[in-house]
Amino acid sequence: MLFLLLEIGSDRYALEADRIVEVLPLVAIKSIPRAVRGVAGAFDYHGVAVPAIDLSELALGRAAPSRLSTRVIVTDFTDAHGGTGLLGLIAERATETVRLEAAEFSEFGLSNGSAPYLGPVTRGPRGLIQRIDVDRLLPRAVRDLLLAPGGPG
Amino acid sequence: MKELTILQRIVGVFAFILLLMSANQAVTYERLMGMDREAGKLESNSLPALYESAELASAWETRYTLTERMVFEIGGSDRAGAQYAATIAGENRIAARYGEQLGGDEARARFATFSAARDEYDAAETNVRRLSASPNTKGAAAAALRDTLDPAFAKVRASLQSLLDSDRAAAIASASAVRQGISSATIVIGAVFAVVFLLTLFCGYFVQRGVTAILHRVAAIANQIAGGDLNVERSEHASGEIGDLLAAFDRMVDSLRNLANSAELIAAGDLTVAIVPQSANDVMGNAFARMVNSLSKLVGEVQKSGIALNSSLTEIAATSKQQQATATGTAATATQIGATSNEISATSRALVKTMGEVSLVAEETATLAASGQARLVHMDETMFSVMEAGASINAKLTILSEKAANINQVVTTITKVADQTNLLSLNAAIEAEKAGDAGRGFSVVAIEIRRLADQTAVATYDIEQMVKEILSAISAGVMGMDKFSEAVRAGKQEVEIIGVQLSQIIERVRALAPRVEFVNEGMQTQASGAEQITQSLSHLTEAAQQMVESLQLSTQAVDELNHVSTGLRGGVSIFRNA
Repeated sequence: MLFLLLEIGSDRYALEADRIVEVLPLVAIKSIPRAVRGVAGAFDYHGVAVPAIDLSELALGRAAPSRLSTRVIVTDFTDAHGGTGLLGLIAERATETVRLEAAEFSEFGLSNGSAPYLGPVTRGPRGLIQRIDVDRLLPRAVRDLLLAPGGPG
Repeated sequence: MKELTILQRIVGVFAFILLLMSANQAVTYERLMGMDREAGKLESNSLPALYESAELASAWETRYTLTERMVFEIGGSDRAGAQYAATIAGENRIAARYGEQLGGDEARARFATFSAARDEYDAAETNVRRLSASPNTKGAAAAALRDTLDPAFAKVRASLQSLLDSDRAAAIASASAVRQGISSATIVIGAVFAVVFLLTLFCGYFVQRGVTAILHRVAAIANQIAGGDLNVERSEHASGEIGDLLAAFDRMVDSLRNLANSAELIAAGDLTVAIVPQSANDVMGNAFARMVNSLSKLVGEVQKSGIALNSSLTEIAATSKQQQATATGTAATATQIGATSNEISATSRALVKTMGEVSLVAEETATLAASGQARLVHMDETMFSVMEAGASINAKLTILSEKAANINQVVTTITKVADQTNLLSLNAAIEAEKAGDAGRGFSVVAIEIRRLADQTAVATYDIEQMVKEILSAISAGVMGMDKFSEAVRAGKQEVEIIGVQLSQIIERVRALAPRVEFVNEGMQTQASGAEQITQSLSHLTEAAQQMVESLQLSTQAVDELNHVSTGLRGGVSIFRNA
């Protein structure tokens, strides 16, 4: 399996390539006033307004710095009700891919209630890499809020 | 005839003259007393009577005028009344006084006539004044004035006039009596003076004749003695003052003869002669005694002095020889000093030459300093061009900085391209994965492309670092250039200060030249002074030789003096000392 590597703070995370539609440079994002924490805003993707989640803000409470290596990753998103849509993830240092097998990941036995999107970990060349589950990224209320008007279903 | 002494004659004559003068005084006194009597009469009788009769006449005139005014003027004033009363009182007082001092029956008869006329007038006037007091009887008053008062007043006036005339006659008589007394006194005093004058003249002649005859004789004897002739004939028995005088002359002649004998002895060299003065006041005797005393002391001292003189002369001769030797030494020393002075002169000339060289060196220094100044100006220009060069270097550095910034832009572009390539390769890898086995080869290509892009990014990072280093080096260069410019500006100021100092040095050195000239003149003056000293010294040498010669002459003179001294001792030895 191919994974895209990215960083939140100084930690490394991996995202499945199957779920990635396209990796974009840091496009202009229209911010949404009074949005929930972690929601950076929305951007235009081939004529479709796509919501964007800032992973650094979601996890650490600070916005990702504006760098060339900071990129917007467009992903397929499926919620618990089966509704699908596109979701933009703003991630730092999304410049590398790595080929890993699913079996290489292992649970590290420490459940995190407030961050359900963090999955099992594996050992990479520069320390541990943790998988991110795209479908679990957003809290329910936010997910409903985001997808309700624009969803196909 | 038996001669009277001079004293007797003088006393007699004086007594006679005193007697005559007393008689003269008695006559004069008697005459003056007569005149005094007449003048007293004039003063105490005639003049007061005349004055009072005149005053009485004036009072009467006033009284009549007042009464007349009372009659002819309307009403009488109080002042006129008071004046009238005062006039009446004054007239009564004068009349009473006049009556008291009357003398002689004739005068008393005249005063009785005046008193009768006065009583008549009083009665008439009382009547007139009573009538005049009332305005109704004014006319009657005027008539009474005309008929009774005027005739009464005429009588009073006539009697007053007779009083006045008699008093005037009495005063004139007294005055003429005084004048007669004066003229008779003049005649008497003149006659007495003539008699006294003649008698005095006669007495004077008598005294003079007696005294002159005796004095002529005494004067002849005194003249003989004054002429040094002591062989005066002894005067025969004379009495009185002349006898005393002649006896004194005899004593004087004796005493003079004794002194003459003593003088003869002294002249012969006998100083043992004893002179006994007759008294403390005997001037001649005392003088002779002191003379003999002084002479014997003098002779003793002269003898001692002769011996002392001889020894002194010997010493003088020795001293003179020493001085001769000293003068010779002085001449030698003067010659040496002359040589030294010549050396000084030569040294001064050498110094003059040296000073000339100093002057030359000073001029050269001035020239060198001037050329240094010119070079400094050139250096100043060079500094200016260095500053310009620094400014141009600064401009070049700015350009360099801009170029480096351009490089930075290129690097940014490359970085962007590398980033795009990376992105592209990422998406390609993701697409290849989605394509499955069909995209496997493509996936490899995508990885390679990404590796190239990463290498490009590393290279651009290196370039970026290098450009940063270049930029910091440039800014350090700019700062260095700024410091360099500052240093050059400071150097320029230093050069300007040095230029000013050099011009000062030039001025000083140029100012030195006249001083050197001054020193030069001083040296030349010194050299000429030394020459003058040399000349003076040669004169001195000559003078010393002349002195030697004159000292030889003085030695000879001392020898002669020695001879003279010996002669003197021989001469003095004839005196026999007491």
